[in-house]
Amino acid sequence: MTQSAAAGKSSRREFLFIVIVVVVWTAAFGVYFVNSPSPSLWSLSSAYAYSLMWWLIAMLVFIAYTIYDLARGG
Amino acid sequence: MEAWQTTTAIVLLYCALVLVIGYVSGKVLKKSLEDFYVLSRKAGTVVTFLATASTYHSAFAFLTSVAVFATAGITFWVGSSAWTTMAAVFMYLVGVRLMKLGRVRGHISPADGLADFYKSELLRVLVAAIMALFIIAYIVVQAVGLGLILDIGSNGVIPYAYGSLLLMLVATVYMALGGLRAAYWTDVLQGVWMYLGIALAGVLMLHSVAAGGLPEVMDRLRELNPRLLTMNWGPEMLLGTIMIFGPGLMLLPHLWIKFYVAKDEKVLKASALGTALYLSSYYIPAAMVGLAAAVINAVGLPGVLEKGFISALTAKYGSADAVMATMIVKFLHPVVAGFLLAGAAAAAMSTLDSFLGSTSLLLTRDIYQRYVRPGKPESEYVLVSRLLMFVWMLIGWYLAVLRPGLIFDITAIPVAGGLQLVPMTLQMVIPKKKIINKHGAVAGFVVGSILVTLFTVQTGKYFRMPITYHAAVAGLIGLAANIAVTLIVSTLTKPTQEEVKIFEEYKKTLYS
Repeated sequence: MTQSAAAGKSSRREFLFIVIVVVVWTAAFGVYFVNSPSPSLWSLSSAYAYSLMWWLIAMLVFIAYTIYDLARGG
Repeated sequence: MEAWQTTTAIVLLYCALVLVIGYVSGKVLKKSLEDFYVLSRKAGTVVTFLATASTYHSAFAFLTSVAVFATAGITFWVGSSAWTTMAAVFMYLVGVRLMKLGRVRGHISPADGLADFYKSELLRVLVAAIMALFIIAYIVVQAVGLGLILDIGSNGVIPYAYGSLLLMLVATVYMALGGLRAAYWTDVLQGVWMYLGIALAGVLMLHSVAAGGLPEVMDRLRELNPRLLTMNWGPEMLLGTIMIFGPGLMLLPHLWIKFYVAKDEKVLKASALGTALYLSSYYIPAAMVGLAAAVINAVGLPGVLEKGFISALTAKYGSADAVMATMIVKFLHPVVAGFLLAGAAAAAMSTLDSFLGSTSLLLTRDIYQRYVRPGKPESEYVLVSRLLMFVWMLIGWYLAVLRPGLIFDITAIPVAGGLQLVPMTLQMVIPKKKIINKHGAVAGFVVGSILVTLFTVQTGKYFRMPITYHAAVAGLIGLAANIAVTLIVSTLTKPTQEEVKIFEEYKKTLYS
């Protein structure tokens, strides 16, 4: 593969990641739809539980992308 | 030996340890600015990751996060989980490009890179001067944190003002001895220490207050103050905090120069992922301490802390930032308390040292070396850098003595300023089409910075502004105006031929 073809593939990967980042971080604002102190998972309030779940998903997305990206040369 | 003596002795021993590290790293320092500031661009993943993470987390993380958890509840988690991860993603995407450009073109400061890309000496001076001014607020909050740590740790024997001066001097001396090399070495120690410290504090204090752990604290807060279990900021505040503590903070000079330290792209990307994990998970135990403090504040704990103790601390220290240090001293064995307060000092010092270093870098390299005494030996510039560290330290300390308010609110001001670098930086790292020229960049940056100053509560009052906001929202207002002005001015003016030529060189560096 030529250097510019590799750079092109890397750019497409990066663009896809940016789209995912925008979608996932927009979902952080979903907390306003469940913004209540009522108990849910592990007695946490529904707002807290939503935010913790959001964080876990965001981290998993980031970890998965980093592994995928670095495995292809970064 | 009394409890406060044990606690204070451990904090002071920790100070001695970082001074030794500073001295040793100074011994291996080469007398060049590149080694003094960016470790000759040879750092591996552990140093890059821990230096970035521990510099990002400051007195803000150890002290004010607990204060905000105790007074605003889980709101702080909703915000911090989003902004810390956003900061790391920004490092992954933008930091790597800045690193590549810095390596090829020899940048070691933000002003260096921006002035080179836009071919504008005016931009160099503006970025250096405005950032140096904004950074004073960040130095002040570390000074506040350090003062609280020794005042509370020593049971008032070392008063706030003297404690702050003493610990700031420690950080400044090891910086002056070893440059940012010393900061990188101590950051590794401090990064580990503060993380272990907050994790230990979270577990110990949560179980001291509620044997049933977090679920019990949740149930008690649901009865006592259910507002603390919901998100209490509006969406504009949430967006503002994500933007200022994400891209805004990562573009401040002390973190920007960390991108130049990494030895290659893979190191920086792996460090960004580590940074995300470290920064965000740090606030899980901080939440435990803060929410436990909120329970005690509502009902009191006989013989330990009185009901409403947070209001009493606010009246004494000018903000609720003393909650964490007070909880540590009141609940834990003096040895453990000393270890944890040293962790708090680590958090503040590891940021303070980088701020002192990066500010002196901005002023030395971008102003003194170019305009005051050009062409002098590198050793003279290193000496001037060291003197400037002491000057900035003293300014920060003096302002901290005035008790400026909650660390969270004060920290937001410089990072809202950092956010104003976003438009011109994005053009620099995405050189596909020339949209922004130097006239647009200068105009947008100046307008954005002025609006942040005018619309922020703490600074707007000096200009008698009728409407002011939290700095997070002021940062968004500044950014919106900044983007509009940047684009309008760039459309109405033409880039110089030299600017276009450099643009093509950047494109080649990043895309071929």
